[in-house]
Amino acid sequence: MKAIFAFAALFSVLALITITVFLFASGLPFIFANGDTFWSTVWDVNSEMYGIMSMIVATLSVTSLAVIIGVTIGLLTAICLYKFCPKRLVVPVSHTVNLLAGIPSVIYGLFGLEIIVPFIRDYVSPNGIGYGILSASIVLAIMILPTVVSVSLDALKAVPKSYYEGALALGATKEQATFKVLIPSAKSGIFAGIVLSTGRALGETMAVIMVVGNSPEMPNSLFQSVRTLTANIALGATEMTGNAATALIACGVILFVFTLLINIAFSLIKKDGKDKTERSKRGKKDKIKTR
Amino acid sequence: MKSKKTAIGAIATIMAASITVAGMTGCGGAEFSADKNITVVAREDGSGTKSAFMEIIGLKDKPDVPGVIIAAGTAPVMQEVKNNPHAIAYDSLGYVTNDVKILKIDGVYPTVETIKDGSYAISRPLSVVYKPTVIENGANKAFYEFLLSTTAQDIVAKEGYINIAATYEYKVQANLTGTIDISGSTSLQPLMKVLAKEFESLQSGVTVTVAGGGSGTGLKNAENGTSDFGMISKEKKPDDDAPNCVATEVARDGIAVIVNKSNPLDNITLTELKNIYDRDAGANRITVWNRIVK
Repeated sequence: MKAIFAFAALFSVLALITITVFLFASGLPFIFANGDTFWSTVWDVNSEMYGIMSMIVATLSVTSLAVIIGVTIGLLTAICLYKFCPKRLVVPVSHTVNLLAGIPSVIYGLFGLEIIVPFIRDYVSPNGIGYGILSASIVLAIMILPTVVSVSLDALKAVPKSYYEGALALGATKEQATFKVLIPSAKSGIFAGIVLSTGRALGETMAVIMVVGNSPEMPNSLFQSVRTLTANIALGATEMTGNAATALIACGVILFVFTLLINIAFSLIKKDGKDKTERSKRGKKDKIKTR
Repeated sequence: MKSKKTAIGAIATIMAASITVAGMTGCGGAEFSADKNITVVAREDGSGTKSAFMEIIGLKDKPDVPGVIIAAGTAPVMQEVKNNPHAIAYDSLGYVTNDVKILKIDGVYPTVETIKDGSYAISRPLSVVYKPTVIENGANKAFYEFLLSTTAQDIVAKEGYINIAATYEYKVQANLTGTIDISGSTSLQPLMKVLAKEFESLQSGVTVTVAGGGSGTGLKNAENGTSDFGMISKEKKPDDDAPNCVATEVARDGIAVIVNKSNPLDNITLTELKNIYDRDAGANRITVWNRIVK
């Protein structure tokens, strides 16, 4: 019986090790062998140029814009749900936001393709191109909303009520108490939400392919067809062979490193936040004891 | 209980609102203007439609123009051209629907006749690839004979593709059993599915599975034996991924050049087409519609 438990536990560890070994064993030699072209901006399979720099820049721009939009809306939603929303609306709104998390990403892609891209093309874009960083970021921003809202809401709820009330008692307005006291106290939790949603935005593939345009160019406009790393891998994975396929695995290595960094950042922030709350809890207990 | 009801109510409201928004964006939309840039739509590298198209217009293995929209599949191509008044794209003729406008190439409209007699310039073979040993006996042999029979080729023509000359009718074999696995080009896949269904109804002991994956996958699967037949929508080359396989053409397909229905253009020359898709055309490169729309 013990062996079964042990195997089950080992399974995920083995999976991670296998994926890592597969990625790095075939990807790293390729990166080192093609060092100069790999970090260039020219991706042209037919002439064996596998430069991914423009795709790295595109990935980072799409992700950061998505996080900026998503976190702004998400954080404000969380604050609204926590403090300003009429009580009977809290449940339906949070239910709705959570429902967003259950929609498959290909549906987000379709939504982007049918609604957001035509809208941006016809009413927003100066050059008549609807695909690009802006469309992809909007779609991703909607996708990361549930993460941002639920994590920030939990963080806000963890702040002792006395902080907020204390601020009010000192004469602060509701807004001042929220933005000057509540949010700074929930900072580490909110940051954790931001990092977590960055990870999701960075790794999203299907929805992005459908709205980003997929031309492997250096981004210089919000309304320009660009290609992200995930889109590059997915577009080529079923069709490419030989060196081109290895180049895709090398893209996977870069993506893996990015997500790894984000996960490390996430656990650091979480640990930091936990330490603080534990310290404050301990502090309270001490106070009670001394009293 | 109450909160659940409210939640459902809220969701219903949101859905209603989104449908309204969807309706508005669907109906609105810009009109064609010749002063606008051409939105060049292409397919991803490795697509059979793309390599055939680029080869025929004289841009073999060239990278796409800057600003190209790469649609990952036939459906996104149609979607974009249907919605975007300034788009131009290429797609398998069998896939093109009434939602878009098909252009004449050098004055020739793509039809079965013009593709057969070669006057329509852009067409390509749809072939199956296989190891010669695969079709030596059993269900695979029967299926191969079926593909080249009038029985199958009549279906090819009926489905809107260009059939090849066939001389014999397929003879049903008694007690034939087995499974046939086919994968590859998504351009040939829909036709192959119809053919497979017909074959299964003729030979009830045989099961045929038809999967997609693209021409590259078709070559790989045929070479390593994952599939009995691979499907490709480009010419078979000796130096590709299936050196031990041979190809047999089972149909031909025209590649249509399509634009939005509001676009006044009816005809485009092969040279103009090349200058739209050629990133190195220099001053000849056509980026704005008024260069070709009078």
